[in-house]
Amino acid sequence: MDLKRKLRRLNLWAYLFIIPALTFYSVFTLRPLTQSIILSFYDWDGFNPVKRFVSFANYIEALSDLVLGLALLNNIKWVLISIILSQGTALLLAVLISRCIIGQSFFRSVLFFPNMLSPMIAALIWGRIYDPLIGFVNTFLKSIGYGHLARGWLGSPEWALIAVCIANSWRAYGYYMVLYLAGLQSVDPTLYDAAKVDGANGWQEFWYVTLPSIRSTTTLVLSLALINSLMTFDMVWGMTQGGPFHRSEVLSTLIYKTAFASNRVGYGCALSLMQAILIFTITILFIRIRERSEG
Amino acid sequence: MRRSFKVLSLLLVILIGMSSISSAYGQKVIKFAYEGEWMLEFFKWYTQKNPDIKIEASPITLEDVDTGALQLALVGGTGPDIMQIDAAPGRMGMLALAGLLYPLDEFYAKYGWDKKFFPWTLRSVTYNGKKYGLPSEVEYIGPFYNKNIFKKLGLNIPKTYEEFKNLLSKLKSAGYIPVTQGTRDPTPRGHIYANFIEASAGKIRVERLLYGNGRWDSPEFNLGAKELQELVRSDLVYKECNSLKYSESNNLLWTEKAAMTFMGTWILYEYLKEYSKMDFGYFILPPIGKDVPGRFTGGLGSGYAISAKTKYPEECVRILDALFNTPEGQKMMLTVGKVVPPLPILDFSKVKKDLHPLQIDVIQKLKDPKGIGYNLSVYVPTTVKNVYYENIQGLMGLMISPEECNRNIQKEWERAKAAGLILK
Repeated sequence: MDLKRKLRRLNLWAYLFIIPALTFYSVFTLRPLTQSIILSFYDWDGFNPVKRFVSFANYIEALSDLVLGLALLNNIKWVLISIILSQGTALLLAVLISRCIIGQSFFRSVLFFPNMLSPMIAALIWGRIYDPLIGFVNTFLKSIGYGHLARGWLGSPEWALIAVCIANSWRAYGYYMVLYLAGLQSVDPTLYDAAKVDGANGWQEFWYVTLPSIRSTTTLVLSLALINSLMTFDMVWGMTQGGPFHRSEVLSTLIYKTAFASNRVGYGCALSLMQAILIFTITILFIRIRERSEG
Repeated sequence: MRRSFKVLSLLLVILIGMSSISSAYGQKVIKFAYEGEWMLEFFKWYTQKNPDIKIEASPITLEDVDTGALQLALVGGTGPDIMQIDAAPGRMGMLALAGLLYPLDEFYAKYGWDKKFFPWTLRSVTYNGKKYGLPSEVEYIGPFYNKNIFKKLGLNIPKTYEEFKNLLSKLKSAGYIPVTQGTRDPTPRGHIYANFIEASAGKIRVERLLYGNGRWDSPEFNLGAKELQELVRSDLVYKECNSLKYSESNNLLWTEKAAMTFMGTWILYEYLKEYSKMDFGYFILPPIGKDVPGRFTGGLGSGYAISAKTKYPEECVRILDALFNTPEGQKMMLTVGKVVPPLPILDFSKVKKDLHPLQIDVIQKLKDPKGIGYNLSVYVPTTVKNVYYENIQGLMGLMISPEECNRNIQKEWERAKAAGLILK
């Protein structure tokens, strides 16, 4: 009887219900993570039975890896460009759709469509759009008399990253738009009435009513965009594989190439752990700053 | 409760029975990862003759090896029993030394393969003294051109490098892209670069690099890289080539927007199947260096290897023997697959009329491997390959100098050498 009471006090049932999820989490997240940490101290090609312990050598090498520096810089550029493009587009479209009286769900579905495409399909489509000879972008530029601006976008050292980032933002904005739409539904309509009474125009309504009211949604969406941008891989891989000559290389493509194409699994693990720590730190910092400013 | 248990048990038995239906018929399932679509015809023929074998065929590409997908499958025991991969240190050698491939020496002795295959082709499937594969095809990699365009403009095949450059200028003036190359993909970068290195440094120096103390950043190698970059700079090799994928670049050739590209004999299959209206020819890139004769690059393209984890090594070997050592297997290889096998043709007089001139040319030169240079991409170890491909892209995108390109490759080469990854 005493034992029963003790067990009840320990919420045994709650623990029992957690076990399946915890098992999955341990097998598919904690175990690989632990293995990655261990492997990052080894020189290993991924399939040889012999692994050579190299202590912190992989981490020391990473500090002087110029390509890693370039990939990190590209990732920062990627974060900035994609946040401006995908967030700007998503918020703008969400606000416009929320004001539609008829056809709201139609527009929501149509505009969400790019997000449903697999990244590789989207990469193929955009590869055609950027084709130097028959692609839409160059054909359009030539047709309006700006043929001198036409170029091989995905092979251009200056434009490759931006070109891929635009394509990725096109694919990503739909998801953020839906989140913003959900946030906009929670805005109290009387606030708009009050703003109108005070003589606010459309822009002022947006700036002083809409934006502050969806602050928590914005924090969530920006955090998601930040994490996704720092982990971005598929569109870059599908369109340029990080080229030309690392000009669109991001951390994830570099890690993939290092671990699986160059068979340097140990070094790849070290890089991926550094990436994970970076994402974790930046996200925590971002959320803290937002919370403080809200507080 | 007891009744539902019985129903469930019955269902389970049926399911197990269905899944092992192949075994019930005594069939052994061999997973075969193939490169050419024509192989499907061979599989059909073979399984009709050998009803105890079921071949589960799946296509494989260079990317499967270069991105590590095949290695992961082999380690995990889910990979193919037989796989067609590049027979070179950077690909087959890497898998062999990792213990992922089945040593085939006993079968070489049993089936007399040692005496059947051309001896020079066996070097590429031998690692640490053991044979881990069968050479599968011999290929040329060099400049392929559209004969119609050449005829229309009255152009001849160049004999010197100066003539080659003049030819490209004439093509450009006539409104064509002289040379297209899909260097957004990694492998076409290696095809064009290796040809320029062969033309500037020659086979002996390349051999010295691969098997001795030669250097990537030697003046002869830099010369080839410099000439290639100059052609890109003058738009004689399409300056936007880094924006094109291999297939997109080939489309420019098939649609007569471009006149030439650097590729290999494997293209015969696609060309004859899809674009046979276009008449194409090939020639050797004339020498750039003074003491170099000028050769195609290439040699042995790929090979067949067997997984170390296969349950049926003997059966796998029998399939491969039927491919190479029966008139039917060879005929399919030559006439359907349009590839050239690395051993004497059993019924050459009978099949000759069905062959493309390029195939006949390759067959005639087979016994003299001196006529073929090295396709460098397959000789560099995996740790160097990325740096190699990236730097060629940088070179062709005018982002780095020829010297910088070769210096970077040399640096990675030295590191691989120190780690014992340069295979002999």
